[in-house]
Amino acid sequence: MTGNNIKFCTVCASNQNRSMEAHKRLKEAGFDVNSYGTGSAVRLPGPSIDKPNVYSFGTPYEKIFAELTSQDTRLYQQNGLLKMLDRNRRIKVAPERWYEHKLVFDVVFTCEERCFDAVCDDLMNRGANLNRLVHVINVDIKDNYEEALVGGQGILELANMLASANDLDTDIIDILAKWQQDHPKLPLMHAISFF
Amino acid sequence: MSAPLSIEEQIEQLNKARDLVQADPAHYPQIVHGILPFATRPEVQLRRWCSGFLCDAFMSSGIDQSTKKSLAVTCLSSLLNLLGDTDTWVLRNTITCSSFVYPLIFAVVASDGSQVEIWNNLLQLKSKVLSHWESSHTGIRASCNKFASRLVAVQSHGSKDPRVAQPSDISLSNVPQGHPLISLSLEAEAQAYLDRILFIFSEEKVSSSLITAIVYSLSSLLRTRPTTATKIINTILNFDLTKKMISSSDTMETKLEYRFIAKCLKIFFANVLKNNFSPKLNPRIQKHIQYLSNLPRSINEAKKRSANSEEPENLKRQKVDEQRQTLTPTPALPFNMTTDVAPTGPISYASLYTLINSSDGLASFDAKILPHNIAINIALAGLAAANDDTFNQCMGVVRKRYSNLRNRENSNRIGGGNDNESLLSTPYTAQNSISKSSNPIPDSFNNYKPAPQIGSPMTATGRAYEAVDSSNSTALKADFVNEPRAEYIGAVVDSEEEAGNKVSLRNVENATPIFSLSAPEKLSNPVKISAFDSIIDRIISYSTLDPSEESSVSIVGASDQTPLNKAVIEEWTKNSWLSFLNRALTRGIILGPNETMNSDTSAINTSNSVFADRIREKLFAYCTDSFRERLDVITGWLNEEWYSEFVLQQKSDKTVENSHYFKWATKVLDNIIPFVDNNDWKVFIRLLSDLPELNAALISRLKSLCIDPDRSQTGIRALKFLIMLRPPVKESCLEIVEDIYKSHEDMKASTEPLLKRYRPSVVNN
Repeated sequence: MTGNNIKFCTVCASNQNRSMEAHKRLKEAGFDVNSYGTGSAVRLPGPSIDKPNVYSFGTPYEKIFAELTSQDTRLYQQNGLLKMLDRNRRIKVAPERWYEHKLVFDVVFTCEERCFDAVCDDLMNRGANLNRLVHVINVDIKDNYEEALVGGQGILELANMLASANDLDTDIIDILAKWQQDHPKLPLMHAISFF
Repeated sequence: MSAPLSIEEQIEQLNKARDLVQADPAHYPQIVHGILPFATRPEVQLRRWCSGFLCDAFMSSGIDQSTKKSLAVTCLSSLLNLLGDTDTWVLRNTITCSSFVYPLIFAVVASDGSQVEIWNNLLQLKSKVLSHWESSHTGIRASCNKFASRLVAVQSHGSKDPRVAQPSDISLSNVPQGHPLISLSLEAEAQAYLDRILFIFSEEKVSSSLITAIVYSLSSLLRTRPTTATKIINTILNFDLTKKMISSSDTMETKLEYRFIAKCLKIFFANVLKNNFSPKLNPRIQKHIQYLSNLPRSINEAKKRSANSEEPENLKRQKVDEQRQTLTPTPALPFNMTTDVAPTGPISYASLYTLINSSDGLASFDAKILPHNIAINIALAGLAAANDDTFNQCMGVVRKRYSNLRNRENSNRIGGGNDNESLLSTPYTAQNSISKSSNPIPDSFNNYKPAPQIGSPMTATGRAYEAVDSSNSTALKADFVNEPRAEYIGAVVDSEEEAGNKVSLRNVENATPIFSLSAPEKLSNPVKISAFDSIIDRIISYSTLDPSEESSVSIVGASDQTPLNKAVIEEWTKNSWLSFLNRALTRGIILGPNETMNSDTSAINTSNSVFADRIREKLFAYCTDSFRERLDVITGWLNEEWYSEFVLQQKSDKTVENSHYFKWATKVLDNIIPFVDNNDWKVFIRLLSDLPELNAALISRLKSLCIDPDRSQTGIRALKFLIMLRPPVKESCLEIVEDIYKSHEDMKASTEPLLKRYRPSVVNN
């Protein structure tokens, strides 16, 4: 694992907004990246606050896009949902759930403290049988379109810094501290765990 | 002859081989054999690739355990070679790989005692890996710790129960007795490795990367070797982050590392609690999680806080003693002791008692802003710590001021002056004619007696602080000027007597010394309700207290052990106060007065039902606020409601409108169901099974749960449970299942088995 060989992964609750924006940025920068959601289902805003659109993980972005378009094009265009889904369907087929994947990564970026907790907890529950060291890094991003753009850019910068480190494991705290100073509004969390 | 391939070209070819095994892991053994020579190549890129590939091979789930064992034996010498490498990536990968290889080869040797050479190589591998344990490279150290935790698992006994033991879990239990190579003393070695891993928690300086890596690698040991749980959890519980040194300066690194460690510990303990690894330690872990949640936000804040709060008690005492010693011989008086002249202008107690200079910053501090309890504590602590002589001197000054004031007032009054504005011009003066000139300190200060309790006859002398000034024999004003006047009949001294300054204590005593308290006004309903609310809130708040903090824990008199006659509270627990509240609601407020008081029954009924509903609302809010943890409270409450209504009162109406039980059970379900998710199915089914009675209206609430694609599993499970185990509502449940089956296409698969069994006609049609 050196430089561009680092395997990244981005995680948010529904694998729709924050993790997908970061996924897009890292993918465009040429990194090996996957993305996941830690929620129990994909929840998207609906016509009212008590009527969210709930989909199971694995439902293709394309299908969600088509459904929402037929439901109320104007509403979902206005709140940016269709734009987001359009972006997502160009990156990968469907939202994936963190708990169901079997891959290993060198760095996992979570976009919310709840997701960081869920990932660390799940890695413990998996039993760390693969002995593979992983850096879990949380970058706290608010779940809206604008903040996801800022957060995605921040994650890309951090990924570039990690990729150019001579000794990632040892230098990571210095790198995170430097990054945090440049991005005081995106609070960081980090842990070394094992797959 | 073709030119030798460049490194890039060779790696490109190797990557093709990787693609091949990723497509079909069956090729791993063949390709591993092929790439092993790269482990000795001088080009670091090739060695990195080779070590990474070996890791991938052992991580692959596409090859079985026995193939991995033979691969491990094949790779052993190459791994030994790579462990001598200087490149950190090669080393990290090789140590990771060794964590796989060690248990595999251990199993090979355990089953074949003749493998002396392999065993020796394995021992060599172990010592080579462990020689990197103190490496300056964080990744290598973390991986070494992971390797060591693997050693602990392998070199200790695993589960002997064949139902629990997994074939991949290799341990000393796999070693036959009398094995020629593997000694059972390895278990002691494992304990030593565990101690060494845990040593990091007692080190002065800590690094978040290592602490998190170790905490998370140890969590796997808790799962596979429960015998290590107590030791590991205790050590981490005793780890006090606030006392560790993270970095020498207050840098961003320090702040971050502190935050990372605190978070990691919280996640770890939450996981330990969830998995119940060490039930005995659960209460301590719970407290520790709470402590971690309230941890100061930075190491500096933590150190400041601990410096303030954890100053050793004896050091504090020493300081107080030192202060006393310095005060006793030459009392240092930082007070404005020179002014025993009574203050002029508008007089307040503050101006009378203040002993500090007006220029002192403290003089402008308004003590009224302090909450009562804090002010009382400060005053008590101050009195306790005060030097006697200083205190007496101070009181002497105040007393003189007061005397001077009295004299001035009296002379003003005689001369026609009006001092009514003064706070102190009050008719409650009791003047003692008995002079005790030998004692410079008024008796009242030395012999203070607490005021009599409310309700007891109170005399003027019992309340007034009779005091005599040695110098001028004038009385010190009583301290109760702010008390309601009418309540101290005996103390009333008319203004004429006061003007003449002739009221002696004896006279006051001879006056009827009876204290009577006028009857309070009847409380209005809104006041009653608000007082009642605060009582309920307080009772509910007790349920958060630790029962051990309560003074009485054991409950006496619970001798009848037949289940129906068992006392509701036999042992004081967290929820005992709530049981009281339940009983007050269902047996006290509802049943009590109606039976004893015949007059005005309807009014009492109305007011009682208001109070009962207040309790219900509060209980409802408390229960539904966190229903998972408060399930016992919900079932306790609703069972009491049901019992009260349908057994004690023998009500026959069982509708939501007429029955409190059905009304509130419906409300509870309506409130809980939107928050139930698939993880809650056990809790939810327990709730349904513990409710004393269900009807079709209650059951219908489950429908929304069943048709939510995300949570339908819980709804269907609940219905299945009710169909099987609650016959009275079986038909209602089946109605719902049938309805869902007919109206929701995507729910057909999950409802069909139930209908096939209980209503086959629906499915067949």
